Amino acid sequence: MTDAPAPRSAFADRAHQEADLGELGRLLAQAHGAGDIGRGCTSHLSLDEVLLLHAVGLEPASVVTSTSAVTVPPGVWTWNTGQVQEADYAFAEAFGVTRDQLRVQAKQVGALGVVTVDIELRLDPHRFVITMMGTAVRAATDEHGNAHFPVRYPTPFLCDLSARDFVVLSRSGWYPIDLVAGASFVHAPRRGLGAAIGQATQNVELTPMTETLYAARELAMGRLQQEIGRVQGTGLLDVRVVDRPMGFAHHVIRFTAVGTAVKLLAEAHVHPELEMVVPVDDRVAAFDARNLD
Amino acid sequence: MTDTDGRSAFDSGLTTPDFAACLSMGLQPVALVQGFYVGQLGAWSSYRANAVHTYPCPWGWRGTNEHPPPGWLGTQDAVDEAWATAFATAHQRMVQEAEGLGAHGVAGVQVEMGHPASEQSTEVHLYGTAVRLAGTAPGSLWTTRIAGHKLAKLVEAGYAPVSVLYARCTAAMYEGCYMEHYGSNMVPAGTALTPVQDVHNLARTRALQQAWQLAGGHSLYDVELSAHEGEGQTMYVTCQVLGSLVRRVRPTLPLATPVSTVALRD
Repeated sequence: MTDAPAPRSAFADRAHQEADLGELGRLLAQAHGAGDIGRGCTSHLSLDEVLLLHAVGLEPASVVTSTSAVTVPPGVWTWNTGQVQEADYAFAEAFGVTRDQLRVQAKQVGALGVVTVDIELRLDPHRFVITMMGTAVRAATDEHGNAHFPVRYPTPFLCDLSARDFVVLSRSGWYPIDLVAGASFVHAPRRGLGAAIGQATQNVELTPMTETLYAARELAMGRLQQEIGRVQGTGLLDVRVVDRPMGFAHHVIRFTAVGTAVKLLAEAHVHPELEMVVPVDDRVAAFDARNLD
Repeated sequence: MTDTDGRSAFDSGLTTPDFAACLSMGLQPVALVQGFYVGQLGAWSSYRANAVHTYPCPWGWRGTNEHPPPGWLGTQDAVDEAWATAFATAHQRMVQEAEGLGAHGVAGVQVEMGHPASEQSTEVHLYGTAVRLAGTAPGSLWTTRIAGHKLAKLVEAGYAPVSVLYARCTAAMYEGCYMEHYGSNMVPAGTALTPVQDVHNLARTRALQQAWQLAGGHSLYDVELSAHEGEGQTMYVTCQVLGSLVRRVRPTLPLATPVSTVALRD
């Protein structure tokens, strides 16, 4: 389908005659006939993030993704007391398998690690489905084929930090090690019928729910600490906590915490030199017709 | 629209900052160019699946009328091909329109895809701003979703735009009796739900593989990967990949080392 071309704009005609490409324009013009350099890649990072990673010696290699689905047996969400151990186990299993598969893929493309991992948790009554997607990164090489990223990871690292956070972290001597998670699902005990009727007209704390939240938190954070220790991390960053009743079983409190374990891999912590910036693009107070009301 | 000389003015989808960035690169907007494609999926396209794997009955039943047929995993190539054709045609039409204007490229390409009438219809609409590199003879035309200062940064970093890329894969999984088995008390917590894993992984892996093939050795940046799951007795997972292909034309990156800053902003 080819319609008649629209008339060329007067602006373009004039500009064409008065060509002043500038530095970038000249580069773009040179690129027209230039051959390709470097290796191909796929990346879900923004261009800014790619350039930031270049600055610390990394480049994107490939988008990697993995999904794990595991069973949760029927009946575990019915009224009960204490932990829902089957759900705890299913979560840990699904998270671990997804993470391992992602690492295998990163290894297959020769990556040092995976950054900006998006983690999608779908917790249904009979199955937990966890999906992770990120961009595997490799060491960028200069024209002599030399890599300048200072860390040699024995296995690819995984992190849900953005490229910007990664750069800030690594310039301080700290590096991501692995994704870690702690989860706990705990039944909240019912109030007695007498207590429920007696408190019906009062503003009272629902003590069993509060206590259940604390219990779930203790268990989940304990597991998180174990995970950090397992991967030999010394801290956790960017943790995302969800603590709420399950949508399909309101008497079960879910507490999940997911984040990136980090470690100081440089000889010493490097204090970043911060430059102060005063933006001059604040919103300007303008005339508002409503002021006349 | 005409300017004071009585000739037509340019139109564009660029924002003011994008316009300014294009001018700084010597790129002159020519016109807003578009490519459309509206099509229909063949009546049986949605039901035809190419099976790549079957799931035997976990209880060992076979060939009885009371028992559901075995589950399978497959891809719906006819549906994906229809969308790929729709995208490629709309893209080609946009490119032709830009070439007719003597443009060097199309910047800031927007992609809209949907079902205009029913689930059986496909509509792809691509539009962007055709630009000319002043004083340069037209070569092979490039298209990119990137515009403005990001395009300037791309060029500064040693890359050149190539094309907008779209890839997709629709995977389907018929559960047969497999999921019934998983839903029973006979399976302990945390057992891998292989068919569900497989359908998700197949859709994503195939879509990314297809993107790699279409990239032809170039790099694919700004990838948007979306997956949609439709549930029924047959589970569908559609994964779409959309991004901008770029190629590296200069070896070094003349970029400053990033500096951490504290912004004094209220």
